[in-house]
Amino acid sequence: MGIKGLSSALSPYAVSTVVGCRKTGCGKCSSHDQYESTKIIIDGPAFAYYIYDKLIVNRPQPVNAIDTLPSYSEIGEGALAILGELESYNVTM
Amino acid sequence: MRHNDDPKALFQNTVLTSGYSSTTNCRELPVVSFLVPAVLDSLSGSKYAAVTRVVFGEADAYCAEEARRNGGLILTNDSDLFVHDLGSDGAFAFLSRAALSPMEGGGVDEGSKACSTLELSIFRPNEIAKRLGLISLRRLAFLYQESGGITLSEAIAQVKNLSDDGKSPLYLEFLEEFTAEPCIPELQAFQDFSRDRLRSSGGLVSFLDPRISEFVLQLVSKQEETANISLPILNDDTTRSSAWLVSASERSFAYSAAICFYQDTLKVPNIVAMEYTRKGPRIVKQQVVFLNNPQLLNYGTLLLAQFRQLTNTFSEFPGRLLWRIYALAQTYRWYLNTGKLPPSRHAMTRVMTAVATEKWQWEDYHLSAQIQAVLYSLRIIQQILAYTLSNEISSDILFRLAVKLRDLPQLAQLIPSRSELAAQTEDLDIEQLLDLLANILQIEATSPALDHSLTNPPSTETRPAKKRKKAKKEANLAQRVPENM
Repeated sequence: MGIKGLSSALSPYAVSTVVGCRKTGCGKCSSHDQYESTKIIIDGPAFAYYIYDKLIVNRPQPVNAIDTLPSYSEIGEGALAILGELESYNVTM
Repeated sequence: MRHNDDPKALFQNTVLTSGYSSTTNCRELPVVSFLVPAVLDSLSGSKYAAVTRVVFGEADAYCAEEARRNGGLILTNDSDLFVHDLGSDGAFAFLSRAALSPMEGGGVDEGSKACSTLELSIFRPNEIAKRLGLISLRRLAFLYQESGGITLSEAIAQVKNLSDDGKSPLYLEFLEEFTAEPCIPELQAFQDFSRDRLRSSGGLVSFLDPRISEFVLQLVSKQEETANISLPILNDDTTRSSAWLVSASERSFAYSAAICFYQDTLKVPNIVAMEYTRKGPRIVKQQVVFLNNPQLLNYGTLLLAQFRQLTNTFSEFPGRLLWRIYALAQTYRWYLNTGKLPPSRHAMTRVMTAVATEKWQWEDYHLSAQIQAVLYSLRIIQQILAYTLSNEISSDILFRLAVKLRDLPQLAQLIPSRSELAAQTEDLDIEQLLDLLANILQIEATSPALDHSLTNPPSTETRPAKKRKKAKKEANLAQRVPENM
């Protein structure tokens, strides 16, 4: 899974693009001529990793790391919170 | 989840690859064993359930197909997306660079004229290829795969100078991974079928966990003789037997129920199943013992009886504890059945309440991992029964078991964190709970008739002898049960 070195090599060719705006029906921020919202397709396993990364980044230094792993409750809530935030930019999931 | 026969490949999608020290039992990085199932739990109960799909093989292939057919921006972390055909306008962005927060994201300031926008670094592979003077990025990706450390300009030059017509065997092999049609009609039908079945089962299950789904799919569509199941990594003590062993019988039952359901349609009637799990730096495989139909019903009957006994015995305790008590009882029995020293009363108290006056030792983490192994194996049974049983069920026992297992909570409640468990058990009389459990286990240990172990499937000649030997062993161990508990 994944090809080593490819992403960093091609990074300069990514284009920074506005894909959504919190203001509903914002004409300025739409990247389309029509006001259609961007459709987002999410790679599930990558999404799961992402939630985990976000949850552990602010953890205090653990005495034993097992005890400070995010709980399944936090992971579930984190998943919905991230999707909710994504949706708040008026994209379509 | 990659679907192929290489056991090492089965672990490629493991959520976190732990570093192992060969001299200690300490992992450098503990894992969240059931990360993806936990995410699926929360999605299945949410408005996103309708747009969630559990797929076979690599998720990126399906994302690419969706983009190709219906457009859309893919969020991923997989650079394979440079190679997939995303359609002429296909685009993707890396999730890891997206600034999304699981915390409160800051509300919209209604009065503000400024826009609050989501900006992402988007890759459009076809456009990038054009900019680099290439037809597509595939050759480039292939070169990066084959020669680590190549620079972009070197790679571009090599691609432009290629004289072959794209038919080199290595390149074709590379492409196969990306051009295989991800959604074969029979797989699509299977997926829709499973979703409808699960919905009609009336329980919480909306999706099969990917590993469970992959097992069931292998029964249906695989031409080979072996179905492989890779079990998630648990945070157990790698110097001891795998924590998964304590619930091998639960999983045998679950897999056998699936075989029973599919027995008329199995492509390979004598299919063998292998479980793969990590033990330290090694991958260990274990053949699954299948139950025949009478054994299946016997085990189902036993499970129902055990649940009923626990429900009655522990009626003064919250119902949600039933599963944890079952897990602890099963773990204790496993220690007895394998002739190992069972956990101490103190260890059992710690694992039931998560409270400790001293720091937890590896003994405690290992016991906790064993409990999780039983609990997740119950989830496997729950999902397979929900999936394989319809309303017109022929086996009353399996149907009743499926109904009982509808009460099995989602992972957030089933496998709480230490602090969550401590809060849940704060006001409970755990001493009384363990006394009651000790009574049950002691009575079992002195009764020769019960055989909780399925490690030795019964045969008519040897069973009486085994029973006598086992009864003697358990009678000896019964001396230890009251001391330990």
